[in-house]
Amino acid sequence: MSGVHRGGGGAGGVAPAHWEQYLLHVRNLSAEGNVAKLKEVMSEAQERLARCLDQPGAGGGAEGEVGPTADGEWAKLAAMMDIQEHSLAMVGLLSVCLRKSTNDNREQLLNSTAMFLSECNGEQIRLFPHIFAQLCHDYASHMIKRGKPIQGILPLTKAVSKIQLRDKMLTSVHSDICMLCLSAKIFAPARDLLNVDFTDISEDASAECKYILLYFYYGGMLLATVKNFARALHFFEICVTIPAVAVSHIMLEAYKKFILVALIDQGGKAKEIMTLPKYTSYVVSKYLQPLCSPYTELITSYYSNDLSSLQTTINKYADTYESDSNSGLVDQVLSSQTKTNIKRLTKTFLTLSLNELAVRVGLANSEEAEKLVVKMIQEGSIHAKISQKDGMVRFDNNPEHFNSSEVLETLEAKITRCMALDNQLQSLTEVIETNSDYVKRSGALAYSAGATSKEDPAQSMSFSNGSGAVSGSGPAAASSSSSGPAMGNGSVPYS
Amino acid sequence: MPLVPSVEPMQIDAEDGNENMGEFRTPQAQDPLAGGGGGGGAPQPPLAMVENPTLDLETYVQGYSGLARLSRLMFVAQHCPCLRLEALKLALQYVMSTYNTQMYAQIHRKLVEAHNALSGPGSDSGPNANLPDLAAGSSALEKIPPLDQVWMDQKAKKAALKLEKLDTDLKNYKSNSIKESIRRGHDDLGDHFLDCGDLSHALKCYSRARDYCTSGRHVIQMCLNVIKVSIYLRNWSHVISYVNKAMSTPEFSEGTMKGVDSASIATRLHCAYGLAELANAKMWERTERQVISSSSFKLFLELDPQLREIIFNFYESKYGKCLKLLEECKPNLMLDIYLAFHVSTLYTMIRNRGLVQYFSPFLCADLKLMASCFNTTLLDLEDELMTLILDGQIQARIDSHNKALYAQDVDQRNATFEKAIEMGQMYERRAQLLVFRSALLKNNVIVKTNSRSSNNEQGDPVVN
Amino acid sequence: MQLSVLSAVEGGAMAFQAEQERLERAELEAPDCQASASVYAQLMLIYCLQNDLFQAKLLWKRLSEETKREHAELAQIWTVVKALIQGDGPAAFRALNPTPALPTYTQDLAQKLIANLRASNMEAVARSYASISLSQFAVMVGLTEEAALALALSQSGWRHDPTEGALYPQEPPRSALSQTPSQAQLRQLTNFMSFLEKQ
Repeated sequence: MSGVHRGGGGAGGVAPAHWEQYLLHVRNLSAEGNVAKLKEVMSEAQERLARCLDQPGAGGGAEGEVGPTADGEWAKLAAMMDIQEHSLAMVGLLSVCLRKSTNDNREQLLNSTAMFLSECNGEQIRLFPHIFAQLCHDYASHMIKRGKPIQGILPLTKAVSKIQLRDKMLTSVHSDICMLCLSAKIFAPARDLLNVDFTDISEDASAECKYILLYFYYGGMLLATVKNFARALHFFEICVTIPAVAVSHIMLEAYKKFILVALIDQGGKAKEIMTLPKYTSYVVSKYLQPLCSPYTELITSYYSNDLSSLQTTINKYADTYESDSNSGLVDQVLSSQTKTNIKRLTKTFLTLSLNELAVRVGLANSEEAEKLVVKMIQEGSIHAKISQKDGMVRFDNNPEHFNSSEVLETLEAKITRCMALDNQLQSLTEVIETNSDYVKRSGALAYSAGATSKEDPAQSMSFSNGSGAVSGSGPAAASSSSSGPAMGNGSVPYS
Repeated sequence: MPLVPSVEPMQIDAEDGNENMGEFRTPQAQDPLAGGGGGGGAPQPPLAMVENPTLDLETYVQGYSGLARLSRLMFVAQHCPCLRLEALKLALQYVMSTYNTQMYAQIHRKLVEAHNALSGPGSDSGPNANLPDLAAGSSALEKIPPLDQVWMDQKAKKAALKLEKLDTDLKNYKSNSIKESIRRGHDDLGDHFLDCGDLSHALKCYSRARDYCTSGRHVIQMCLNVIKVSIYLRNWSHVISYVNKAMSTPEFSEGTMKGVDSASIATRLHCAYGLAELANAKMWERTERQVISSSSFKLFLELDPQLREIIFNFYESKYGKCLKLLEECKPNLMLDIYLAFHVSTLYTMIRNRGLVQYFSPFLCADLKLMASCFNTTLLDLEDELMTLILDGQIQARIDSHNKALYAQDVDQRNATFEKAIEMGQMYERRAQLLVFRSALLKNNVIVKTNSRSSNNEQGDPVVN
Repeated sequence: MQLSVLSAVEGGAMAFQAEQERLERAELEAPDCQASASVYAQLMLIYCLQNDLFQAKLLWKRLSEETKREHAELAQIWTVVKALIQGDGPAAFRALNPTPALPTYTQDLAQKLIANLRASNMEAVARSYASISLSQFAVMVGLTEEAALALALSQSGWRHDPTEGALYPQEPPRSALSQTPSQAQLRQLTNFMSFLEKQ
């Protein structure tokens, strides 16, 4: 738009007529589906627009004309557009304006952005998900800066569905929603999101894996605030095991929280649950773990038989936990150890006096012990009977005999879920098996090895290259498919 | 009560000049008195000092010769203040009969240090200040011989001469290409290096003999030599591989060697192997079993009545007595160069075995009786039992109210259900992780440096 | 009686779920996301009913200081939440019957919460105690001793020993598998088997 004309002749501002021309151009190109050309035009326009905004009215070169940052100017341009028809052009306009905006006009801009995010044409913006996603990120951080994170949640939730091709697709905007929820201290809007097990990743998210890391990090934190530790652990684990060749600060923080949440949730089990899966990138063990000694020491002292050891470690590193803002979780680790110890007692004792129980797990007195035991019985984590008459606890075996119809129902539900999961894996395997690259490679492999190799689906998935041949999604696939046979180097993909 | 010096069972055959029971740190390695640990590969916590051993030092070291005697003496000196002077003096005396001049200098230095430490306060505060100490101190002072530089030079010269001679001999043998002589030449050279305390050269010479072995016997001889040096060097994996090598020679496995000799060699190999595994701290159970099952062990036992009594008590279920006896010989064991690092672990293991064995025939046992049997209090017993139950070594639960221990049957059906549900959950989660991971890989998502540098705000929580 | 209380609560869970979602939406869709105090109050109580105490806590934390000041009933309900988080049953009962009383629009939910709390504490006592003093039981169910005794004795199997002042609760029996496998279950089983065969 303006840029074209600036280059041509001098008028520094934005002339509505030229803008109209640009809009027409963009619309035609998107109708034609000429993505390459569109990209060119759009990025050029953005550049010019940005430059033009850098020289607002008062500034140097602009010949007296008002830049679009001035009140109403951008709105004038926006008014010429139809959200549905000109979604692409609008993304460009909004993102540039938002970045250059000043405090005075930002309120209105943000409102328009919110409106745009909810109403825009998904088909169009999916041509350039990056710009759209960037707009979402900017919008989210502005909402936080303005101290109104909660208001950004709904627009962004709608924005997600614009980018998504499928329900179970993770986009980079997911992380923004989680960030806003955390900041607004609200869990409900993220609840459904956090329950999804994603099977797909959108283009914009794959391009900037920071947002994937952030989604799992923030998501894990949200889940931890509502004490859904099992799921939080799952999130932190994913965050830490994302393939990496460089150290990420997000991963580091996630790893610390992973340790804490694992202790809180799984502390009763063997120490092995602390170990990450084998496929974890080497950077984690090589660079992250050495940075986390205050946390790894926590593991050691948690499992030591010495009751005071955990408290000692906590005191020793109190400042670190505080500055990492993990001290709340650390406190919960401490109380989790008490519960774990009580659980261990149920395995070794038939009867025990409340007093002795309090001593053995380090509680102040028998009243506290009684309260905690009742709570744990309520939670179902132990089975016991307190006799107040003589101050004793009798630990029972699990009264569940797995013979009720409820058990049967839960089992059935579980099996059904697993069957669905298996079908999913099966279909993934099929995609791979029918992939021409795979056929060529495995054929070559079989030929060279003189034996047919039947791959484990999970393993064989792990090497499919990202050239788009597998995913076949979006326009990128078409443009990059020529680079398909990346296997020319003859290396064996799995070993 | 000092009976025969207590030695670990596998070491009984040490009489026949079996040096492979000794330990030695190469002179150029660190000062034996400085570092408490160093043994067993893994870093060891420093050992506590032994205060009241019942060891008769002279009898004790009679059983060893060569480096073994020296290093054992040094170990005692290091860990037992009250025997330090005596041990160092014995060592000094003995080292004079070898070519090991460096060791001599070292021991002498230690001796002077130990002596000064002992007599220092006394001499500072003037004569007659500390009566008993002073007497002991000054008498010891008089006995310290000065550093014998002449002797050292002589010895060094002699050693060099001998080395030269052996070297020329070896060269001659080589030019005549008589295999057997070459082998012997190497062995002699190795012996000499060992005598001088040069372990790495000794090892080299012994290993070189390998190419000239003409019979299984020779192979075994070579293996024993290498094992010996490796033990001094604490190279346990080396020891194990050479023990295996020796055992796999046809002569050994067919037992065609002359009777007495073969038995002795076999024991030596087993000992070395046991020692190596002990160093890796994983073998007590095994040794214990061997102890009982081997009939020949009974012979060794006769040599150590105290140990025999301990074991018999254990098997007659007189645990209290057994443990008491064990406790009595603990200080002496603490002075054993190899056992010292493992004594407390081994003691706990013996004790735990006792507890497990004690309870095995019961459905319900009285804790009070049990505690008196094991010389312990009720509370401590409960603690011990707790760890054993959690370890899964005893299937039982404690009735703290009635002070009884009840054997417990696990309901297999319930346990299976619980386990199956847990496993199912785990697998489901793992599968989900894998599906997502495949999506990550499909999209080439990798945390890279460039994406990181664009993270100006990083992952820091916005909220907290 | 105990059963009826429980089933009423359980049956209501679904209704609460729908109500919860409606209120959550109302908050987000309110102008500037500032819902009315009644929305917040009801939502907080419903979170308590759903035993989702930490969402209730978050809600309290995101309220503006102004709202907290102007609407005393919100602070009152927060006291309940806090007591519940700390596992302090008696304090929760006290906070649910405050003076001045909670506004009428929360009365219904508050009463349900009391009933719910009483039922779950009852169950907890039945499951965790072989014997318990009557006075403590009364505190736990938020009743006077007489009323608590009457409640206890209405349960099957509970005994009271007036000399010791102790109650002997009885754990409700678990329902074992009673009905024979139905047609549907058999079909389900067949499905599982054929799935396994396929592998």
